[in-house]
Parts: sequence; C-alpha cells; structure tokens
Amino acid sequence: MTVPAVRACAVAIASLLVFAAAARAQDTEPEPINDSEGYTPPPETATPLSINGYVDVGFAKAQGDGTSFAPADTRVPLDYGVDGFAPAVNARGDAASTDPGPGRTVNGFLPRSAGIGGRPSFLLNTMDVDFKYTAPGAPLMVFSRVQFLPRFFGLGDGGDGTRVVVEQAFGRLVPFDSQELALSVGKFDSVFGIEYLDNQANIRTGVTPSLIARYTTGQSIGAKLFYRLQIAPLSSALSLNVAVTNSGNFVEVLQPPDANLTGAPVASGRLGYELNAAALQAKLGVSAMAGPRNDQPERSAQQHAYGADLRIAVAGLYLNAEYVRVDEGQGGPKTTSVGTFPFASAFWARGGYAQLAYALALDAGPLRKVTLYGRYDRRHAWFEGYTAITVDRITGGLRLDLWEAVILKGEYLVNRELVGAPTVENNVFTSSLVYSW
Amino acid sequence: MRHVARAAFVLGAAALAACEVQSPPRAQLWTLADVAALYANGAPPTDAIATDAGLPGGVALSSMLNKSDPPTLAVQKGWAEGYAVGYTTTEAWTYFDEIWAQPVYIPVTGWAGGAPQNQSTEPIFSVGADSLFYSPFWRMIYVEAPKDAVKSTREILDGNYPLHPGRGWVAALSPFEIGLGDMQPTAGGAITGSGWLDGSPAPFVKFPATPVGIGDDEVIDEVPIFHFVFVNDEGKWAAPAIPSVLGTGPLYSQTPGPIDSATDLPTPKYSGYWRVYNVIVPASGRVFAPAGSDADMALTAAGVNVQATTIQGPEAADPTNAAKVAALVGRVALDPATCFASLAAAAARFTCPYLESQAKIESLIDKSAIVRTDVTVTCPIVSIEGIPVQP
Repeated sequence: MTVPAVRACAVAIASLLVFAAAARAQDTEPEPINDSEGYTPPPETATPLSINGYVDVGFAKAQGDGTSFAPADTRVPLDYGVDGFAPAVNARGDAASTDPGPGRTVNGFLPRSAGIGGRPSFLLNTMDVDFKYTAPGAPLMVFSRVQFLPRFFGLGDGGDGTRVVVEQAFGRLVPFDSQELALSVGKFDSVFGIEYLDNQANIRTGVTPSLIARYTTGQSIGAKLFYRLQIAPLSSALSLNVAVTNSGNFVEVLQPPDANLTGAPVASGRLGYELNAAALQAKLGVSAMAGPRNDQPERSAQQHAYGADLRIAVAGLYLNAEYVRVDEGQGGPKTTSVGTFPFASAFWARGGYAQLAYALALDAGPLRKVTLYGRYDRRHAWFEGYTAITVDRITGGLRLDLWEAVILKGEYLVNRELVGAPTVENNVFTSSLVYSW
Repeated sequence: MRHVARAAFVLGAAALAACEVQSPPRAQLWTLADVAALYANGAPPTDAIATDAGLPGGVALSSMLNKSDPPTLAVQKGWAEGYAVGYTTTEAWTYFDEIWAQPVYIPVTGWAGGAPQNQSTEPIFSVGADSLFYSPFWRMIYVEAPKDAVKSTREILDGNYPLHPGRGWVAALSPFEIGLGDMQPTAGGAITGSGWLDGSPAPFVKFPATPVGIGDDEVIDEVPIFHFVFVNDEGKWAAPAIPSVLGTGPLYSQTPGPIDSATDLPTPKYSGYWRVYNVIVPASGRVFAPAGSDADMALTAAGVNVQATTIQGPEAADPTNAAKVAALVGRVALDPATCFASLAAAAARFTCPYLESQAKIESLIDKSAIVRTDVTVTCPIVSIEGIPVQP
C-alpha cells in the first residue's frame, strides 16, 4: 500500500472515532438502551463485567463417506458440481467430511469439516466464552466471543485440527437515550437477513444451519449502524441495520473476514418492519450486500446479494422464511480461510428456506419447553462454465429445554440432489447437547 | 450532529476508496468460441489476445482461426527436429500454472476381451468451455450404457454403469463445428463432431493423433514451444510470426523427439500442450526470408530488420530452386555468413546450426536468453513435411 493510501486509511478510522465522540458530546444521558438486532448479551447486569458462554456437545452420523462427492466423479474441481455443505452436523455448518480423497482436486468451495466421515462420533462442537463489559457512566458496551473448536482429521490428514476463533469482538456506542441508535466497530455478526440471529447453538432452534447460511451468516470486521423507529400507535417499528466490513456476509471459510484483500469495503444492510401485537408478532425485511469479493485481490470482481425474510410468531407457532440471491464476478487467485486456490470463478446462487416450529411450554420437573420443528431448504447454484446444480433438504427435529441451562436437540437431514449434481448418500442424523452458563 | 455524521461518512468512504492495492495478474483462457465471437464482433485477424503475459504482441487471432465464413482452424508453420510441421492453436491461457484433464465419457454397448464394443460417436463432456477449469485434454472413460441412455455426467454417475478408464484425448469444444476447411488436403488429423454437455449438444474438433500427458491430480504435462524474439527498429522486443520450434520435453531434459525410426521423420506424438518460451536471438542472428516471402513480410510487419541478405536475387528467385527455398524460409541461423553463403550451404541443414530444435536452441542460446512466458497454448500437429497427419 502506498504512503498516501495508508494516510487515507488512517483518516477513515479517525473519521469514525470523531463521529463517535461528537455524537456522545451532544447527548450526555447516562445509560444506553441495548436493542440491536441479532444476538447480544443481556444489558442489565449487576457488575460492569459479565462472563457467559456455552458448551455444545454433539453426536452425529452421516451416510456414505460424510461428503457430497460421488465416488466415481473425477471432475476438476470436484466441489463445483456438488453441494459440499449439505451433510452439516452442527450449528457452525461443519460437514461430516470434506475429504475429496486421493487424486481429486477441489477449489475452496467447501465448509469446515468435522472430520468424522461416515462414522458415528461424539463431537465437542463449540466451547464458547463471552465477555461483556459495560463501561460505568458511559454509553459503551464492549463484547467479545471466543470459541474453542476441537477437531481431529485423522493422522494421515493433518491430525489435530483444533482452532481458537475470535468470533466477535466489538465496542458498541449508544449515543442517545432517546433513540434506538447504536454504532458498533469491531468484529460482529452479519446484518443480512435473519439466520445470523441463530448462529449460536444455544439460540438456534435446531442443530444445523440452512443451505443458504453460507451466504448470509458470516461475521466480519468493520463498522455498523443500527437504528429503530418505534411506531407505538401501530404496535410497529421500522429498523435499519447497515454495515461496511472487510468481507460482507459470507461465512469465514468462503471469505476471510480478518483482513481486507482488495482494500475496498463491502457494504450490506437490512431494512425491517416489525409488528408487535399481543397475539401476533411479525417481522419482515429486505437485505442487500455489494462490494468486492474478499476471497481474491481484485476490486473489479464484485459480489452482490439480495434477500427477503419473514418471521411470524403466533400461538406457539413460529415461521421463519428467507430467500437470497447471490451474484459473484470472476476474480483473481482465490484465498479463503483454509488456503489458496487457482481461481475465484464467477458464481451465482438462488435459494431459500422455510422453517416451522411449534413450542409447547411445560412445567414438568426439569422440562421447561418442547419444540418440534421442520425446515425445507432449496438451493440452485452454478459456477461459470460448470454444471448448474439444484439441491434441497428436508429437516425434522425435536428440541427439549431443561431447566434454564440445558438444551437437547436432535434432527435428521434428508439431502437430495435434484438437478446437475450426482445423487449421493449424504443424509445426516445429528444431535446437540448445549449447556449454557 | 447530522453534519458531523455526514462529514465523517464522506471522509471515511473517500479514504477507504483510496486504499489502493496491487492485484496479481488475472488468469485468462481464450477458446475457439471466444475467438469466433471476437470475429463476429468485427475484430480483424491482426488483433491479438494474451498480450500481457510476456509474449511480445501476444497471440494473433489469425493464428487460431481464419476469418472466413464459417471460420476454420488456422495452420501455422513450425520446426520439429528441423523438419517443417504444421500445427493449429485451439486455446490460449495466460497466468495458468497448470491446467487439468477432465473426464469425457464414451458410451459403449459392452466390453469384451478388454476392448470397448460399439463406441458411440457422441462423447459426453463434463465441463464447458466457459469454465477456467476447462481444457481440451480429456481423460477418456468408456461407459457401458444402453444407446442414447446418457447425455450428462449426472446421468452416468447416477446410473452406476460400469466405467472403464481409457487414454487421454485432445478435443477442443467449439461453438459450432470448426475444422481445417480448405486446409484439409495439406493438413489432417482433425475430426469434427458433436457430443453432449449436460444434455445439450456440444460441437468439438478432436485430434486423435496428439498424445496427452496426464500427471498427478490430473495436471497436464507442459512442454516448451520456442518463439523467436528480436529487438526491432524501435529498440523493443518483437516476436514476428515466423515458424516456432516445438520442444520435446522439459527444458534441458534432453528428451529425444518422437521420431519414426523407419522414415526418420517426426511423428505427431509431440505434446499438444505447450508453454511459450521467448528465445532472444543474438544480434548476429538472421532469418532466411527472401523478399516477398511470408517470413519477410512477418519481419517487416514487426519492424525487425534481420533478413539474411546473402541468398537473394536470382538464386532465390529461380523457379527450379523453389522447393529448396520454401524448405528454408523462416529458419534462423546464428552464423549467417556460413549458413546463408549460398543456397547449397543453406540447404545443408545438418551442418548449419539452425535454431530448429530444442536441443540446438539449448546448446546455442545462453540460458538467460530463453525466457519463460505466462502464455500456454494447445497446438496439435496437423502436418509433417507437408504430409497431412492421419487421425
């Protein structure tokens, strides 16, 4: 980077700090509200520092070899003609396996692997530790989420693959008591769609993310602004959540969030409407993302995503639905969080899901709630010059909430290759026991 | 507050936009479809592709397709162990460190005695020419399937039909059937046809005589092809369209050429996939380029004044010497005073150190003057000493 460019970047950062300071100077009300969309820790705590977290222990069994690769498929790259994300086993979207086997080539369009192949296995999916600090006398909250991810990939394939991930680390300034306005700077959740709200295993209704989660639920580093306007007479509110980040909303395994590879930010945002009536809660939103793709170095290789989402809650029934459209231009050499690959091919995807859940509140000993849920996913995608594929997934599951600290979930995923991709045995049974603390 | 926010946003956006980074070159692939499309959009044959990857002037469109209706494969002259060969160019890549063989499926009705029965003439390709992972180098896989039962990779893999891996195959996908056209009497070995790609018709031109070297992870072996580069009148490098030299193996590997022991002539078993190397010809080097010859016009067009002048005039113009002259046109010699002293001296190919084979280039040219480019090409041989290659 040139000296003027470094100087310019410094000016950008200084601008944000000046903005934050100026906003604070104009309103010195003491205690901020905490009402951003997405997961945020509880605001009211007795001490400035609170430590929370959870442990997600899984047990899963995938069909076949745990991948979506057909044994006789020798195309290059192998991951372009199948959906490697389909056999997911946990809330992070890790597949049972991504091993293409000897002599077969992939090009970085794969999820993280749990490394269990087709064998039934216990997994320590995530050990999560959250720190939250609320500055006394200041409208500032600092939050960090560190996750330990123990993995093992076999002695012939790297052995221990345990990672420690700083999933979130940000400071949030709420400059006005009278307004639901929050500015966050750091590494934070996506602002696109609604599924990122369920990223964490202790919050997600089921066990696994949808087939489109890879495009919408990634964390990234940058700045975001949230604003909500309450319309009390209509029991309604409008909200706007916008961000500029390194990598947009793709998951980290597809686009690294921790550095900007192009030198230009990705903009994203969601405009939402919510109805909060006594008997019915409904939330609607539209989202968009635009900017250079952050898995390669060229600014001219743009990515765009558009989405729409819906949430309805009535009488214990919860309906979540989301649609997303993704367009990516061709770029230079590909770099993801798992390595470098020859090219960032032009790519297009359209997909969505609908999830219906029924939650029955109980008071039967430790059992507090029973939730039955089902989800239908569908995804159509293609790389330039490569066979277009259409896949879908039917998920059914049961969730038990015990006391206030334990969740037991089990689900079965029926993955189907409808068009283009070869048919493979990649259905999955997976379960998750989550202890929150 | 509003003004502060607006100013901060503008400053921030402008500053972030100014954070320039240097991008590495982008890998690019040009296929027959791309060149045909350029012609269809009005590009002249003198336009070039792959101009930014180290080969001066890039790859001229006219070296891949003749701009005719319909376009036909262009045939260029080259040297293989000193013999004149004709070759076509069907793809050009820039900034590819490697390319890969892809599977192509040949339906057969059965398998007997280790041999396929009733091969279909309609192969099923697995990757389209729009993909950067496309290559015309295919790993042939026979699939035992009922006639017309399969037209896509998915149908083959889902059908669990018996598969029998075969040899490599060179076949360039094309937007329509593109062959040698009028060149057919003097060049051969190119067969046009139509197969299937994801259930849709896929025209192609295949070169059955050209071998395919497939290495680990399906990576195609590359062999050097040498383009002569001179310093032109403006002091810049120029690569005139004079015959190139086809290599036999990796640089300095001393790989013997595929010579027919019966005729002592080269065979078509040279590589189909080539890495272009510039050979910077020393100032003493001259090209046999009688006035008005293709080589002379190419040198003139490139602004290069290195025509050998010793065999000009009556000797070169004598019709009885036409065959001898034609066999020499385009040859490069480092010792023109000896090699081009007379037509007789020039014709003594095996005593004159022409730069006409990889071995001679490696022995006569300093290593520093043999420069790897980031251009690779598909160039199957279609004629040897004027004799069409047989499929």
